[in-house]
Amino acid sequence: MQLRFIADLTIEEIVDAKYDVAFFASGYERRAIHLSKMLDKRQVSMPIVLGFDEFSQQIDRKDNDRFLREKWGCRPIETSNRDDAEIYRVLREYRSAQTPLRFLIDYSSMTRFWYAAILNWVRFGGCAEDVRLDFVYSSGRYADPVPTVEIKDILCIPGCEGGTSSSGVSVAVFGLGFDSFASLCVLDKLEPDWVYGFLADPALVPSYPERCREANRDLLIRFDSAPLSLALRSVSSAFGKLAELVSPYKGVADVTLIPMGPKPHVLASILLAIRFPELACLHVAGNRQTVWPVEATGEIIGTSVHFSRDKREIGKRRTVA
Amino acid sequence: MSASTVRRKNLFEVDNARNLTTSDVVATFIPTPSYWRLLSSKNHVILGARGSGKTVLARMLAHDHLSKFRDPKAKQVIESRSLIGMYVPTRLEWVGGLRNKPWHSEKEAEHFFQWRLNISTCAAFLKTLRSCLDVYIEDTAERAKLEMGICESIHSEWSDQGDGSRQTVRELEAYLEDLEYAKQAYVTKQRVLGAEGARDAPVGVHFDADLFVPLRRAITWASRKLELPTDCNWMLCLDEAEFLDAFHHRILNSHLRAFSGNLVFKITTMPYYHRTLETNTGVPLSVGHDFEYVYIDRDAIRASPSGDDNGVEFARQLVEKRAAAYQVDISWGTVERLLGRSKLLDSKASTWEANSQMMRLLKTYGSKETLARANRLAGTQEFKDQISRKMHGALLLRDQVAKTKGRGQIDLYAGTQMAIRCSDANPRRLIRILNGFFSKAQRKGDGRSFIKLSDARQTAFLTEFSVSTLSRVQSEPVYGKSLYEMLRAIGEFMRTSLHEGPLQTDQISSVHVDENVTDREWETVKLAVSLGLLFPNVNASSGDQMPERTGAFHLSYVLAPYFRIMPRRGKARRLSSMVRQKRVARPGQPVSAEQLSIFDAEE
Repeated sequence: MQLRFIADLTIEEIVDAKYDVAFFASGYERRAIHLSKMLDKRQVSMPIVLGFDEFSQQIDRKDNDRFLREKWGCRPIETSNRDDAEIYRVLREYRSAQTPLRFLIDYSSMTRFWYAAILNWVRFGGCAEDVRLDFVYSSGRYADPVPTVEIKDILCIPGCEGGTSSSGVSVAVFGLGFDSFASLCVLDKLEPDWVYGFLADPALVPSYPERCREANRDLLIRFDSAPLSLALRSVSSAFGKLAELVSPYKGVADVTLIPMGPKPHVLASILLAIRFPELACLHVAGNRQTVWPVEATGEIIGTSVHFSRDKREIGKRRTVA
Repeated sequence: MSASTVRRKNLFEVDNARNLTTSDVVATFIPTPSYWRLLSSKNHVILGARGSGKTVLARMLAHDHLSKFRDPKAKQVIESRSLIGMYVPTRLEWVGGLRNKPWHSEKEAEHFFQWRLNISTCAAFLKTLRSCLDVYIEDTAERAKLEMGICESIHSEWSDQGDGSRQTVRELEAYLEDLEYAKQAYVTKQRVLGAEGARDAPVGVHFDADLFVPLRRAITWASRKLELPTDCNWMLCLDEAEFLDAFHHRILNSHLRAFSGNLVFKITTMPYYHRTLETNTGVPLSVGHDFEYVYIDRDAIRASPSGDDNGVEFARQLVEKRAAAYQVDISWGTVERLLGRSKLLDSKASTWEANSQMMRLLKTYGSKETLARANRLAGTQEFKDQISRKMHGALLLRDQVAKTKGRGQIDLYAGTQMAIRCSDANPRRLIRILNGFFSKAQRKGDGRSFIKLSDARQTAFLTEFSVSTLSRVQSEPVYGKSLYEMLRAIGEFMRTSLHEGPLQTDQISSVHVDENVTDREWETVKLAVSLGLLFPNVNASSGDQMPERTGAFHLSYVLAPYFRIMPRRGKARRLSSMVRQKRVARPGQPVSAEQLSIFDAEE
């Protein structure tokens, strides 16, 4: 299946929709249940709750588990943040004659390995002719300052491995967050010929772009141009601008995306690597010693992603993928 | 776009070899004794900290680079066709595509690694084949005919088709690129559907062969058709093996252990990141027999004729070769004029008479024993060797810091010697430092020469560079935070020793690791060495093997401006005592280094 278009969604469109399958994730972040609180149980035919197998005894996690169990009537399927086996197991068992299928993915507290697995299932699973995935992100309030991340591993997101061009030229595109040391560390290891970046601007809080620039001062010196300002609230627009950024290098250089910033931009990067399989998308996994119970700010960022077998593009507000 | 279109803002902007064009690498290359040692038909594992020049060495062994190198020895190798090198990078993102499949069994992971490495080595071979055709076949028509013949033969080895559809090197390269995409998609699809669900035919089965078999077949065809001598050896230069896991190294080791015919291996990795000596044959590698280590972190120093100029000659050559290659009007003299002399490091005429400033400083800060020795040696050559040369910089630094409140501005980390010293003989670090200075430099009215950068601005830049180097280690995988804490403990100990107790002639600049080191501490020391933040105190006679769990390591000089210590060799203290001081120290209550030294063995 091919990625056909990406469009932004409003909360009204989400609460009015009917979903064949909905994925939620339970973790220690309080925002993990924010969207579930806004939805009606009758909207979802088959709810699936995934739960992280780490920090499972943490108090906010237990509260989230309880809420989700009562709301959706199912227990979390506990699994590791790197393991996609349970997602594939559930999806392989899922049978529906319906087309198009419509899925909801609340990725606010979800590891990217899980939602990449859902995307890969749609790409390769042979499920239906048309599938629409509505990704929903409840924005959160983070600690200030953000603790420095010690990198645990640097991996390609499954399905986003890219390829090796014979030119030997490499391009790295960093999504900037508030911790620059991890990005610098990755940059030192990648040693790309060209370095670009992007950050959330406008962001959820007006001061965040400046905070991000200040945190990444040492990294920005190494960039070949000023970082792109991408709206946090519009994944479709971020996708489009990123596509423009990398398009001159497609086929002539190895392009690697390293999204270290907010999740809507991680989603945009993954979708870009799916659309253009010559791009690689890296996940820089950190060693987490402590947890921060990220509260929801109340703001929702919705993104509709459409896959189909034929080349018809449907939908009224679309970013051609 | 091609590699040659990579633009530069100034002479020192590109600081790593992978990003330089072939002609740039060749034109700026400074051959060291290690390089000539590597240009042989032996197996080597090249050890060097990040930025030490491993990639340059590996690339300069490859045929497309070596054939452009204007050196009689290189020319002889190319003309005799005795060694043909291929360069294979194992990039982080390449390895990231191997390690993101935790569901793979060990056997599957090995198989997938071998498959991808087969593809990568064949791609490297094609680049080398193109170079061989260009160098050895002058006639264009004959070259095209030969290329077609070789490519057709190779294509028949690498695919079921053998239909003559891939007749050029470029077409074969495209074939390998396409195969790699298809394979990744196939593996993902298998994962999605489960083994039973994937009914597609396997991709690239010819590369499922044992490791290097497709490469060897290609070498056989090329050797035959290019009529290479029977004693021609092919060097596989595998770069950045530090990103690979131990089991990948074990697979590679098996090929170093076994008779490999006319294929020899040059593997670059960081110190301590040749992760195992084990092989798949059950017999571990024997150092010196199956392969040799080549440790290159001191190459820039060893490159100088005298061997003790702390890398000045190497820096001079680096600047002048870059300037010539990029046709920029900058000479070593330009650098010296921009940065000037170093108050701390440059030797100067003695001003140690009875009432001189230096003697006053010695009386103020020197220990009783040092003062007594100075009085005893006054007026002799020994005074110069044992007192003035050793204490000159330390006294100036101690005094200026004492007169500066808090972290106020000082100006002693300046001068050409200081810039070179703070690079720790690491070419990339040196280029970044020079890049920083030149980006701040202003030209004089004549538009050509530069106005000297003030010592205060140089010190501010080097301090910032030092802070940045230290801070970023926090994010290094697995032991980053431990390393950050360890380096801070070591640096603070050295700072306290220099600035808070009576001064002795030798400053503490090294840590001594003994058998009491914990596993975690040792892993952290290894990470520090790999990043060029600690260096084993080896000399020319120490050989190239890294010390194991014991030995002296000196703190990198790049950290000196941050800790306000001297960037020069001194004595060692036990690692455990430095870490212990860090634990007991409280703000405003530094533990006296002098007290601790009572219990420490001096090196």
